[in-house]
Amino acid sequence: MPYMDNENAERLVNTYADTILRISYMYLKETHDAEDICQNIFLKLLSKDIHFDSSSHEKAWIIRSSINACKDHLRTAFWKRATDLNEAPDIPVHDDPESELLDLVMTLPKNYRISIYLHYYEGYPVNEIASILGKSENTVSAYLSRGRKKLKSILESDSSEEISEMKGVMNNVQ
Amino acid sequence: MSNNYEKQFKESMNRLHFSSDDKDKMYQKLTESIQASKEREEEYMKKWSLSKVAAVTAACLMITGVTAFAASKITMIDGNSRSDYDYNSIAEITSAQSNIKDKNDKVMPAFPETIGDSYSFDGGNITHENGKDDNGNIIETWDNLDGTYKNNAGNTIYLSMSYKSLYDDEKTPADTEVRTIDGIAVSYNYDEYLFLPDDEEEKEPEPDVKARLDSDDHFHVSYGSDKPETRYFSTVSFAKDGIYISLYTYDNVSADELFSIAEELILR
Repeated sequence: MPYMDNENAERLVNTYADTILRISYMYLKETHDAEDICQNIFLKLLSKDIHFDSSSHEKAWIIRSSINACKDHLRTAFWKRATDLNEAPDIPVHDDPESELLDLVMTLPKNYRISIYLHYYEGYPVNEIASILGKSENTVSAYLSRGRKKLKSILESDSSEEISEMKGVMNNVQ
Repeated sequence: MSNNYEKQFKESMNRLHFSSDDKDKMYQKLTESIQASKEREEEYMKKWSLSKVAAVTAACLMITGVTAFAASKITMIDGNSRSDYDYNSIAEITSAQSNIKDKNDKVMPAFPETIGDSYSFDGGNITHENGKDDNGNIIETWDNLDGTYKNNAGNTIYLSMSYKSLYDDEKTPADTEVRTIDGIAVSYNYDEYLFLPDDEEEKEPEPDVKARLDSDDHFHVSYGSDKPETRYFSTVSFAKDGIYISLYTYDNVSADELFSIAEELILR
């Protein structure tokens, strides 16, 4: 059955569109271009007639492609000149998942954020995250460990002022 | 992460999803693209080229970027164009210009065959821009046209024309240089981009990098490259008869040469 057909298109949208949206949010801190990223990835998949051994193999490809698409987006010099990612307020196109914990996660460096997302939400073990990100298992373990440590130090703080200050400092780090 | 925090995190992520309408629209666009692709393959046996956010013309930019919602005011622009040429000749891009209408009946000047001493038209693209408000609603759409000009030395200059300005003077840093040509202010900017691998983001920037970030509005750091890389981006822009015209390049083209080309375009 040809891969490039409407049935596959519907399956891809229903199965992976939200995953790509979440990765875009975790990586770029915004979702404005998530729909474009989805379109590009799905069309690439459909037009290249790529076949996977399993659905998990397909999902890993989608996640890797999403992260690469986000990296391409960040590299766009013209876009960078127009606005600074770290300064642009996060204007939600989709419902903003309000949560103080998520706000704190979003202050972490993007490799920590993506690793935390892949581990705690998608359920990937360290070795599979390493394969997806193209990093060593030790590096991914360090991302998770350092991310948890930073979150723990903030969350266990008794001072709400200290939490706000930490969030402000982390948001200004370039 | 404790079970409670893990649960909170998952619940947050669960709330982030496309609506059914969004997915329906996405599916619709995909099926149209699939159909168009099949027709094109049948006619041309040509590999389908994907749309993507263009490196040279797409800008996601905050015009006001501030506090209160402005539901009817454009606060962001994003656009997309093809990675290969939409137009392969001056005749084709000229024809496209006649199809792009401006509500105030402004008329874009024709793209020249050559610019500067040695740059020739290599191809052109149309960029579809969406002006969105704070809520992400599309307020206005318009099209820009971009011509790619190359010389024998391998340098490339892009010439972009638009009925709308992509910049808000209040938000952009001071220009590197401004010259007045035939009564028209022409702005020149020279920006340096330091691309660093992802791993660098979690570290403190080097002192010299931090010092430059603090003091130089035309120095930028971006994370996500495979290896450290510095690129330079030169632009010259002006408005004439209500048309916004920009020249930009990643190559080693002097400010004087860009100003000279701007002068050609203004005086013709």
